Amino acid sequence: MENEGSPHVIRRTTRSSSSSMPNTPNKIQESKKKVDSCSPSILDDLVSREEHVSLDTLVSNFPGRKLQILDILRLVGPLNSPMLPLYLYGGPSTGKTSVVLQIFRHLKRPFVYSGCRTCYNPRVLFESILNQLALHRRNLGNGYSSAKRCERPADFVTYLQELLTGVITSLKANSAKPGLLETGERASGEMVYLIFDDIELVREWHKHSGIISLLFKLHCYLKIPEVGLIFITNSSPDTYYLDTVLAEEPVHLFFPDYTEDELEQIFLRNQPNPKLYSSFLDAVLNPFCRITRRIDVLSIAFEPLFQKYCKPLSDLGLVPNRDEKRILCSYLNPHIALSTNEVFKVLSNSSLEVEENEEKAKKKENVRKLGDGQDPNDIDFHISISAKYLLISAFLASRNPATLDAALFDSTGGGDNRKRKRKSSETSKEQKEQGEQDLLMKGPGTFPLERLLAIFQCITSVAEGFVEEEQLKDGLLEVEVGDCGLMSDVLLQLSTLCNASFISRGESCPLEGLTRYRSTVSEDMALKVARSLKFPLSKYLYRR
Amino acid sequence: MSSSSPSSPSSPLKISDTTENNLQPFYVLHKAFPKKPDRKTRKKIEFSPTSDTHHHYDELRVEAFELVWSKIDARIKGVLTDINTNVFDEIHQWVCESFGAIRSLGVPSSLEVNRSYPLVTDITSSCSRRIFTGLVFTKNVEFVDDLLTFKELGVHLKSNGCHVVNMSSLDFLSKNGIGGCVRSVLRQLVGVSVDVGDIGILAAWYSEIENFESPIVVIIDDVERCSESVLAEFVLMLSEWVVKLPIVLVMGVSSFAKIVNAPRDLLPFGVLQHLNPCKFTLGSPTAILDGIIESLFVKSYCGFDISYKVMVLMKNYFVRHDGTVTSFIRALKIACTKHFLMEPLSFLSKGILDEDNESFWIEKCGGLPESMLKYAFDLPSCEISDEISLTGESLARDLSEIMKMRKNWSSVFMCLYEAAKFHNVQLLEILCEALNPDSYNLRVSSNRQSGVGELYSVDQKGSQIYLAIRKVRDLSFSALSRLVQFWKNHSERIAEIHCQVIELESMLNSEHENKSLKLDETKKSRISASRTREKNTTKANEKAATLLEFMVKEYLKPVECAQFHEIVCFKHVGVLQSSLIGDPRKIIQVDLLKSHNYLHCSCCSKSGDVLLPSMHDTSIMYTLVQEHGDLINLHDWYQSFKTNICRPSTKGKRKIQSPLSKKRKELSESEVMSEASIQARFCRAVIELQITGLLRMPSKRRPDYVQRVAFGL
Amino acid sequence: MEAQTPSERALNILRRRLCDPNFIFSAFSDSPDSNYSKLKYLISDSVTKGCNNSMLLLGPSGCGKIEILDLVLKDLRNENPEMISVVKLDGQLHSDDNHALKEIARQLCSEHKLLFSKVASSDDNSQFMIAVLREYGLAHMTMIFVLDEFDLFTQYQFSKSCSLQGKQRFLYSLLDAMQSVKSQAVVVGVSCRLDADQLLEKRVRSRFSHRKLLFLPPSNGEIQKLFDCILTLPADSSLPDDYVIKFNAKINNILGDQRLKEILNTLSVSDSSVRQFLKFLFRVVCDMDTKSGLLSLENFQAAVLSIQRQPKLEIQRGS
Repeated sequence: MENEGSPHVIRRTTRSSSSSMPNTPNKIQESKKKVDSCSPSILDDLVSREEHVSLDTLVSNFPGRKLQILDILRLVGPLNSPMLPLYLYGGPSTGKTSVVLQIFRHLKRPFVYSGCRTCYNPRVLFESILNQLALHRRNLGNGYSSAKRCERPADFVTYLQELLTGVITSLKANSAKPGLLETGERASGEMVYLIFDDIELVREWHKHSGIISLLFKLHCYLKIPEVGLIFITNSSPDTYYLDTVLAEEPVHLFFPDYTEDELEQIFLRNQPNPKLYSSFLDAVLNPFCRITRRIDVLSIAFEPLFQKYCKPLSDLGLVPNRDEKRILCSYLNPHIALSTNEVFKVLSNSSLEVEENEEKAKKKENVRKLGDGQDPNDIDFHISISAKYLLISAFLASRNPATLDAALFDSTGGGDNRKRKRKSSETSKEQKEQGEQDLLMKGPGTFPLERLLAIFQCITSVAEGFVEEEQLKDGLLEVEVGDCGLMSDVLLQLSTLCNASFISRGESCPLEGLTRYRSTVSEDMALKVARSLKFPLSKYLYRR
Repeated sequence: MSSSSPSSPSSPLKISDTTENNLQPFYVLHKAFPKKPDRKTRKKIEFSPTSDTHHHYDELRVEAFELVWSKIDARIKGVLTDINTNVFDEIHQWVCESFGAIRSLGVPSSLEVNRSYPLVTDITSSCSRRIFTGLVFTKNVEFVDDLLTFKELGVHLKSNGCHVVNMSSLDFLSKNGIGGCVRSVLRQLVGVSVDVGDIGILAAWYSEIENFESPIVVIIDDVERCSESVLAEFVLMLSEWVVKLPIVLVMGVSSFAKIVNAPRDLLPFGVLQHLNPCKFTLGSPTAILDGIIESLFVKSYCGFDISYKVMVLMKNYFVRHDGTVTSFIRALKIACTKHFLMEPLSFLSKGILDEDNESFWIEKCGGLPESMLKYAFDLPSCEISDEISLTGESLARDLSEIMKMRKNWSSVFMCLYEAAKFHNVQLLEILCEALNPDSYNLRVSSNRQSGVGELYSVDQKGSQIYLAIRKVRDLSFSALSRLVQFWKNHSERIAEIHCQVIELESMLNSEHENKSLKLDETKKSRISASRTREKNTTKANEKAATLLEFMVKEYLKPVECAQFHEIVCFKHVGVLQSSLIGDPRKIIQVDLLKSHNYLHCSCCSKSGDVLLPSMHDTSIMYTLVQEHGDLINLHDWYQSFKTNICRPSTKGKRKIQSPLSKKRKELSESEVMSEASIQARFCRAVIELQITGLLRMPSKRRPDYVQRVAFGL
Repeated sequence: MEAQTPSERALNILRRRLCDPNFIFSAFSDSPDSNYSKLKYLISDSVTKGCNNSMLLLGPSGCGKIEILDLVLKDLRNENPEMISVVKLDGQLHSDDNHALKEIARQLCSEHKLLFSKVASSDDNSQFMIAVLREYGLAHMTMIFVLDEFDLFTQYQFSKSCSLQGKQRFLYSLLDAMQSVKSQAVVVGVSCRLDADQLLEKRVRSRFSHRKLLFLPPSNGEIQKLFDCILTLPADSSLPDDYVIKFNAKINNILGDQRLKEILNTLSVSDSSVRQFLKFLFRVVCDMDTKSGLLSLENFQAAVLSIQRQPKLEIQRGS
């Protein structure tokens, strides 16, 4: 049988040697060697480095998380005891990740963390895990390349098996040798834990649908009892029933939202003057908790409010008594109402602000002199006149039904279209009511380029009147420059507007091969622009 | 030159792909227009006796152009940097502050940075997991100007020791996804091109000692054009690394309302609350433009002027078409090029930059060949009639005359503009008026018949200068004194004005102190005091106003009113306009209607606009299209086309043919021109029209109609 | 780790048992009519007779199909070493036939200490597989292909360059190779879709023998048996005997308790698979209080509650 076995030996060796690729057994060898050589540094690299925290400090660090912490500790189990995969879920910013990390800091056990937000596709995920296990440090020397190139799940599983066995054997060697006990630290045992964070994102990796079930079945593939899996996500387990087989689902643990007083404890944790801050929280916490209980949102909202709260106070050390509290609250209440509504707050450098203001004032003056009553507070950015007209006509085009154009403007774009328009608006009055309804339903409509240009022509032909008034003093020049008027370079303007996302370009329909456009500006925006041009927009609007 | 003249692309499709990818102002080849002055100069130069002198002067002109333009260019750059520097410094200072804030959360060791898991920070501190974001508010829908600005910002920050990444919306395409932008960040910072972008690599790079001490600034120059989803992903990912990698975002936003009032326009709420925003404002394009013009045409004189009409054209182009400084500068450059190309004597303007220009002009004009001199004295602005004084010396004299006048003009204009600033007039406006020769002549003449005082006829009530002078009349004391101070500094060159200013100043001071005395000795009620102040200051104001009037009508003499100003001043509006606003669609249609102007064929050049079969099919077709509305019935069109092709040929022949042989002739004609070939030509012409973008093929609803796409365009 | 109390060590033993499928399902192995013995008979028969064979193990997931198969293979290896080599594929990972062939080649190489070249084309790999099959046939060795997630192999649409063969290309080539070459090999498909054999194409089905083994969730008796043999501590272990006796006594009277039966019923109503049961026990064991070191009925009740919680409602309630 041996001499029968030998032929493939030769054939294979020759073939593989002819193909100059590194081959798996060697890889195993070298990775093993690597692990063994730097086995003491496994503890440094995989075990969290911060100083050990005792259990009760851990619990006290996370108010309202005692139950979950104890549960996790029980499920993870004592030293060297295997575990079933664990699945932590709960709303955003309920302390899932930080609790787990602190627990491992407490346990001093080797673990591999990989957040699926940062590892945004399978390859990055795989390679980051493999790098950590192989203790591979990317640097200039190796051109910031990762230890193994790994894209397919199959490869990932095989590599993972090799590396994990290597790590675990060296861990066993460690825990066997007594040297570690003298270091005074608790020995880190023989288990290796893989922590996957934000795995709900994995389901959105469209092309790689299998990954999520791969992760959930990882312990079935590995079959290494010394490996513990921990999944962290903010979506409840039954959202995965579609992706993976039901029975694969691991052991659950739920992180509920913080209750109000838990929030109070959290915010009081490290405050210079807890009394003052607690009185502040009494005023603020309740109204905000009706909106959200996410700590990150709340903390962003509270910081400016607390400053406002402290403003009347002379020194921040004092403890307010009851009526002082009442005064402060009455002082704060309007701000609360405001800041519960505001979504996004932008503060700006004072000096710049000032300079901008005066600059604005100046601009306003200019514009008044220029003659078109543009108010810079209306349109806060520079946009050329023809672009404005184009904007308006785009707005009209997607606002009005196409059938009405002939009535509103005459197609030749003659000057006298106001009269025509009025007449037509009377004729088409009866259909307007229901028309208004489905306008509201449909939102802005799409239009082909020609329609836009036609409307633009009509509008500008109306508007040339204003323009001539604008430059009365160079009347003779109108003859030459007049036809440099708004019409030319319209397409350039159009592209500008598209880039500034005032007009959105739909994909061209395959039959006629022309793109359709849609204006995305709101009505008041359009009205502002029209006002800045002294253009009677509301007369052209379909509903009025 | 042709490469420097812009034009707009000829079809919407072309626009869409060109502008999606590159924002740079793109140039396309553009046909030079045979204009009258152009031809005239060419004739002159051909007449010049020896071609080598002609070459010699060409070289002179070229070097003069290079000199002048380099000067102008340097000025412009200087202005731009001056405008931006303070904003840049603000931003840099803010970057440093936020870096400090991030570091205050805790400085991770390099080993911690390399860890895959996030550092556990106190979540209640609002800095944790929030990225400091500078929203730089560029008040312009066009983005061309700001590209350069953001690059300079990047350079500025880098020179101050930050790690800078310049990103554009091309890095945030939805088809590349998040990987694309991470990869470009790595490419710019780490310098390695990895096939899959991993932030961990950035961490590894940052944890190296030499990189560790400074913040990472990521500049995204046009946020509005990024794909929202990718941008959101990017922000969320960075927010996980905030403490480990002190990253600071700088985003260019054109419309501030978009970010603040309607966050869902750009980013979802969950992402926005990871941003810790701070707002900056760049100079508005109008401000930048004023700065440039002031430094080019007002403050000093760099040997190249543009006439009133050209200035108005450029102003309108800026206000109406695209408000980009880039395009304005481009227009200026075109004007400059054309000027030195078309004006044979323009090399003389080199003398203006020369320190002793007298001698320069003397020797240059002395050496002028006959033809050139003749040309010079044929210039429309030349009033010298007698033959004797047709010498280079006179020309030189007039040139230096021009220069003196121009200097006076600019200093007086400075004074005027300073006065006009009190009612915030835009520089371009008042400059145009100050350049207008007609209004100048009007001023002078009106001043002649009506005495000093009311020198403005009724139709000029709206004029800026008039308003400025009016404004001076009711200025407060402090403002007036400031104004006078300014005048004093700027009017050294003109002696008589200078002394007037000085006495005005003394008068002001005297008034001021005796008023103050009055106030001291007798404590009067506020009202009366103010009344006295008015009464006193009015005298000074009156004097100031009259002085200003005097300056204006004496010295505010536009260049165009001088002899030989064509040499230094560019006047050809048409040329500039045609090359500035190519308007290719219109050109295409015009050319289609008059094809014989271009293919100078003997057959149909003589005919006016009657259609001949010898014309090109497409042009025939398009001429026929003019008869229809925007819907064209194919059948009628075809019929008229056919008749047009067949008819006139026979008519043309008939003169030669004997009447009896006519019938057979026609038969053979119809044989020669078979139905099939006509249809083929018809189809080809239609296709060409469609390709040109003038027609749209029949839709399913109206199978027998084609539609005209571009009407007057 | 000598510092551990006996209770901790007991906990450790229990957890090891719960996480070790071999231990769990060896409980089923003894009875003559169990799937274990049927499967073992089938495979060993084809091994000894030296013929090709193919079968499907069907049944709801979590009932220990693959685990029992592993047990069988382990035992067979021990009984007749050097006669069997196993190739394991998973439909989840290797449904693409190139990857599948490559994986086969890799496993064979690593088993026979050959050098495996990654760049080998799929044709090379398939030739290699056929060659090895032939050699095995000559050497009267049996090669056993285990195809987990069998239905995925059938579902895979081959949509690359050479898409002529269409779907199930891999299965076809594998079975065809087995038939063409004088080989002896066993293909064991494992799937939790009971209609897995209906998914096969005709040409594949004709080459596939329709021997099916049905795996069912454990009956109550089996559950009790599992309960017993998992939770009772071994007497011979390093644990102090009195503790072991006390512990087992406690387990026994809990097992006798009526309320436990109710708990087990409620458990089996939702999902009666073995894995579910193991999860349940795992929670129980985790909740064991380490001071007394004994399991109490409360542990069981708590565990069943925590297993039966409804996540949606929790999210809604936010608490």
